[in-house]
Amino acid sequence: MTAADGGAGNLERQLAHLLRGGTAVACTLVALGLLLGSVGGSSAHAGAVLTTIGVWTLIVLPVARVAWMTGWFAWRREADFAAISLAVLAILLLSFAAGSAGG
Amino acid sequence: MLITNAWILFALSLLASALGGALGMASGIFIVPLLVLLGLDVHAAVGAGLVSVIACSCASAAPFLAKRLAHVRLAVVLEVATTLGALCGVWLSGVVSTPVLESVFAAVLAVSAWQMRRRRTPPAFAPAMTGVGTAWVRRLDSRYDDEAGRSTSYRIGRLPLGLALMYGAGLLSALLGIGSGVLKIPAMDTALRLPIKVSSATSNFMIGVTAAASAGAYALQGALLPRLAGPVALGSVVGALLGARILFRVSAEALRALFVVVLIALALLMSLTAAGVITAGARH
Repeated sequence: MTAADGGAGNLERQLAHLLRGGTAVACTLVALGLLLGSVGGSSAHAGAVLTTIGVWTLIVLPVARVAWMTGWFAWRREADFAAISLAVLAILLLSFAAGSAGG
Repeated sequence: MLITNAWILFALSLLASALGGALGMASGIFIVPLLVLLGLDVHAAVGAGLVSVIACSCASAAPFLAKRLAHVRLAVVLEVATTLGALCGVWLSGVVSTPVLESVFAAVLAVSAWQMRRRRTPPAFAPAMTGVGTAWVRRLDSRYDDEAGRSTSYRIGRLPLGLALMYGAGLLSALLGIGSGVLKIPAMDTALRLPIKVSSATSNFMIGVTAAASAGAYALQGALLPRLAGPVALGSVVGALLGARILFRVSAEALRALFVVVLIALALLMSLTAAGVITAGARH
């Protein structure tokens, strides 16, 4: 029995749901944004806002995936993998902070 | 020619992603040079490429996860290196000039063409390791079910070398807006000795997180433009889904030959753009 066998695929199933659902939501928002944008007028502004939210949903989705894994490993008391995924989460947030600082 | 029409961006990305998906490549390696050659600034093109990489990774991860081909524990270990590389890449992108960036992209395209021509061969079974941390690395050994439903075991090879290559992959991903298969393939096959199906699935699972590290930073810097990245991401997702259904009928060898030609042509055009021989229209 290896570490990867633990949890009998529960984590994989949950991650698949999260990524599939998140991508569907993001793509719907972007598609609606594009459609509204092509109408023009005041709808164009609403379209731009929806597109921006859709793009941000996509960017945040992998971060949410890592956060979910961190919680799952912590709940399963796999301290080593929880710590590693927490480190990934910290680097992601550091990268975002570097971006907002303009560096 | 400045490309700002969302539907043209959508169509271009759909085509690039459908073609790239047929050979298991992220579409960024085609989309970024196409956008640059069509007149977009390389930094804006990189931002759009990164969002397309995230979209393709997230959209296509579910089947790999359901079949347990993606090794999620190994992925999170390797993501420490790829995200650190991406963080350094974000910093470097502000230092590296556009012609240098275009030259590096041309080199990556040429190496990718060479890798594609060479084809991937199944890696040898990783030999038993000794030394510090070996017992912990053995916890990452796993197994997967092949097409016939047989369970095939595999063990992880040289993890430190794999981590070093993954750091480079993260750096390239952040700098160029690509999935960095050019470094991930040798890392997975040669260093870690993963079975090809497991390495493809795990790499696909990881590239979204790597790209998110730099995409978030670029977006907060204002270098990532949602009105460009949105249609590119949508086109990439639709293209990846369509490509898997439609293009399996085309001969893999013919497709591989076509891709080598396209990659070499893009490498040449990017080199000429970097050298200033080609002016890629009004820059965004």
